[in-house]
Amino acid sequence: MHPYIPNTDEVLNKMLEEIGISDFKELISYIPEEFQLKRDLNLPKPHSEYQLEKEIAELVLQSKDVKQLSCFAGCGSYDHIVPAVIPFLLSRSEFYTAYTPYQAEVSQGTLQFYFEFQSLICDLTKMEVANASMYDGASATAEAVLMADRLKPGKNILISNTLNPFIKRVINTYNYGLNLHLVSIPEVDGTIDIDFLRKQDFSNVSAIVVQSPNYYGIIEDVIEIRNIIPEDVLFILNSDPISLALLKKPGDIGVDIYVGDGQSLGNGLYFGGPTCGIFASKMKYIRQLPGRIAGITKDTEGKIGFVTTLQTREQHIRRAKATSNICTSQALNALATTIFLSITGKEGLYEIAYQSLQKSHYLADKIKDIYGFSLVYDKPFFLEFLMRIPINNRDFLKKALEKNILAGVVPENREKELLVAVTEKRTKEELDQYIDFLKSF
Amino acid sequence: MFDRFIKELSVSGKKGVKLPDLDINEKNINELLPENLIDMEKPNLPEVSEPDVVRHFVALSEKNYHIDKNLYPLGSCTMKYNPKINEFMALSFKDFHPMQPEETVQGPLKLMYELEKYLCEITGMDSVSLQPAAGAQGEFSSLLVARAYFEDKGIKKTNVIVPDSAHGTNPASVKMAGFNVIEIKSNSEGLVDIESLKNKINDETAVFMITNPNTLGLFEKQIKEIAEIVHSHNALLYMDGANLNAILGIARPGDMGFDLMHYNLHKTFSTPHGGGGPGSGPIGVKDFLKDYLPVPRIINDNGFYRFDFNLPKSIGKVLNYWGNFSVMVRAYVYIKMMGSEGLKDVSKAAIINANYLLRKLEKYFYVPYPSNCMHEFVLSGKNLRDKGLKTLNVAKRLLDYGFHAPTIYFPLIVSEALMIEPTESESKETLDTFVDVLKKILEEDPEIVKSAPHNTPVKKLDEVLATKEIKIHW
Repeated sequence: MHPYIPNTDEVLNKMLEEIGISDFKELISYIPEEFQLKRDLNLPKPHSEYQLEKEIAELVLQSKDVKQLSCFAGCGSYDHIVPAVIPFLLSRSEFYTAYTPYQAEVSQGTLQFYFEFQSLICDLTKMEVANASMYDGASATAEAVLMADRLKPGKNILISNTLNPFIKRVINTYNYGLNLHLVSIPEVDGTIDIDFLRKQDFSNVSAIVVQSPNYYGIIEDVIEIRNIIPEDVLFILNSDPISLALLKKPGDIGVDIYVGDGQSLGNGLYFGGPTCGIFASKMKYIRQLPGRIAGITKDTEGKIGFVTTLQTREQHIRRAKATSNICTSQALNALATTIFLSITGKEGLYEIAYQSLQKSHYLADKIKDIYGFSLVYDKPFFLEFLMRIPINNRDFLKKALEKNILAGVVPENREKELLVAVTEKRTKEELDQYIDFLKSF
Repeated sequence: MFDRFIKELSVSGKKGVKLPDLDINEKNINELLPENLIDMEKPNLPEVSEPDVVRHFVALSEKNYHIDKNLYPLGSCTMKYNPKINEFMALSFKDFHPMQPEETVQGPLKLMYELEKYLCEITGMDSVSLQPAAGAQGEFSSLLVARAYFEDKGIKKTNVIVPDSAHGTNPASVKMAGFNVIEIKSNSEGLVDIESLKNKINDETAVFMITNPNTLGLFEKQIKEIAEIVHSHNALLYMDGANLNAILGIARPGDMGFDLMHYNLHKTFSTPHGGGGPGSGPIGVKDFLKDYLPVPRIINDNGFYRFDFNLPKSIGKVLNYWGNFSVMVRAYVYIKMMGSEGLKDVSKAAIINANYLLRKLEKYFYVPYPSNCMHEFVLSGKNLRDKGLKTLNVAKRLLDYGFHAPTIYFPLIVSEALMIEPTESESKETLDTFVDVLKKILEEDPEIVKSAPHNTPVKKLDEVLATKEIKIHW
């Protein structure tokens, strides 16, 4: 038997004997003979740990990660710090090998971090309620659209064209079988077309979805947007949660549903996942929230404890009438975010956002002076901007790689433009190297 | 017991991280951001030191039950051992950005490509997409694949059939995919009732979703006939892969007539459950459905791996990027550690463990479906009524003895259900102890059992109070 299986063949045979089974084949005799596999699976031979370590190391060596490359790529995944405490605590068996907290009395650790995650998200966003995580920011945004239609059924839902195209794609996929009326709001100079919005007839509109900082990194005038749309139109805001350390909080500006991605909050890059989706709303919508929610209660002795609550929204109780099909979400990533928001805290999160803002603007300012390069939009941005470049962006990225620079992300449907992101991790030396590289054109 | 919140440790001026230096000339923030959108107040977050954080979260962790501690017999959850090498290998990929040029990420792409192939081989499917984040998202994506296929062929389909023993996610996913749910009853043996299927299925049926082995731990032995009925109505046969752990190297869904399915890497393929995720719910399809899978697909161009976004018939994307990549790494490592031989051993040991436990426990509980089981089985606690006990009481009392409880009150078709899946990771000694403990609980003073748990960090919690007085943040 494999080392992961504690019963030896001898023990297994003894167990069979004890329950009156003479041959294991008896136990699988319900599987029609014609469907029983008569051969081995065509898979690699069983490896030792040492062999695997070597093979994985080879896969890594065939590649280059951002330890070797100076990272200016963003577009929803940002190279922020991940304090060592996070992977360390996440690797505790008590957290990572636990199941979903079905037996609350022996899952108080998990349930309390759900609760602390919800609380920290509420504190950061100033929203009234948050759930215990979704899959990621894109699917959370799609679920927010579905929730808006449950709250105000059958009306149009406006989607800003400055939303990240991947997120738009996820919304469209979630909507594929439902056919909600999604209407795109055009953009002008890299932001939502405010005049178009002003002329909009909102009588048949249930919600609007806006991203800020948007796909181009630009900060949308969310206060003006809230002013333009009538009070009963739901304002769904997607934003990079790090930006909230500097900007007005969603709860203070009349956002109805806030969604974001916990990637930047302690989850690292990992080639795109897992991260966690953040989902928060006003209290009055709580019965329509998707996903798990932890709440405080008392035990039989009156002591404080935590349980998953408002379960009648969920699939295991309501089945087809549930608010979502979501079951397993991304709890361990929510724990990473909980620890991240705790350890960076008030000053640390502010500093991360502030440094990202300053460093990205340092780079952007220099770019304005380099021949052949410029900013496509001259509008306030947080840590990412769209840069105009003199050559095809894929060729440009290749040349930058020769200098060990991951120069940015190729935006959808654009050839001579590049999305450039700068986080607190970039040093002056790296920024100046990037600038020198641009000057070499 | 509740100690305190991280927030309560906050002391003004405490710091938990040292940031990189701000080594450039700063500008006034008012010059960089729109004045009306700047928040003058710093975020309302705790101020704590690194040791404060470590002690707080270690203290929380100590209140958790987990598979590295002891048996976790949750039926249909496959709480098996999480190999430690998986964790170290996953860390190797922590610094890859998802949008790097393809030539710099050949390793991660090759890993995904090979994992897709392994998953195809294990189930007899032709193509796999690794994108869905969890089983429920895999179900949803598969149903959209079915929708796209039928729309492409110009065939009108409106409903999906689900057995009454199905997981709650099945009907919920059906609804999200825009189909109507039609439920069919199980027969007296706990299997799909063929007559009921024939009565309910019609030409507007898009998909019949089943779990095989089903949630009672029974193999649907009439699977061939089921597939024929489904296909005769031009419908697709879907397998919920929650119970794949029972048939690794023994039988393959693709050979039995299934057209599409999802996998749970966090069940069958040993990736950890993380207290509620992240999981990974890849989907597998037969060749005629591959054009509808989520984008991007991974292509092997003579040894160069690249993404292909150009698939006009695809259902689109269900996640921002490519899926829960670090979970995929763990599953990949697991499959390579096991090989064909190891995976066969997994299912064999899982099935023997389950049958052994079933026969040891049938003396103490009512057994609604007494035939041999696959990797799990369902008992009923309805015989405990004479003692005034319910299944819930026994479940809570198990916690006192250092065991996690089985899945209870599911599947819905069995009253007072206890659904038990020991997995291959448990030794005979552990199973024997579990049996002894259950036996002892049934012999105890029922009042002690009813008021359980007694030895857990908190006593029995009041779920009704939590719903009545909603308090979901500090």
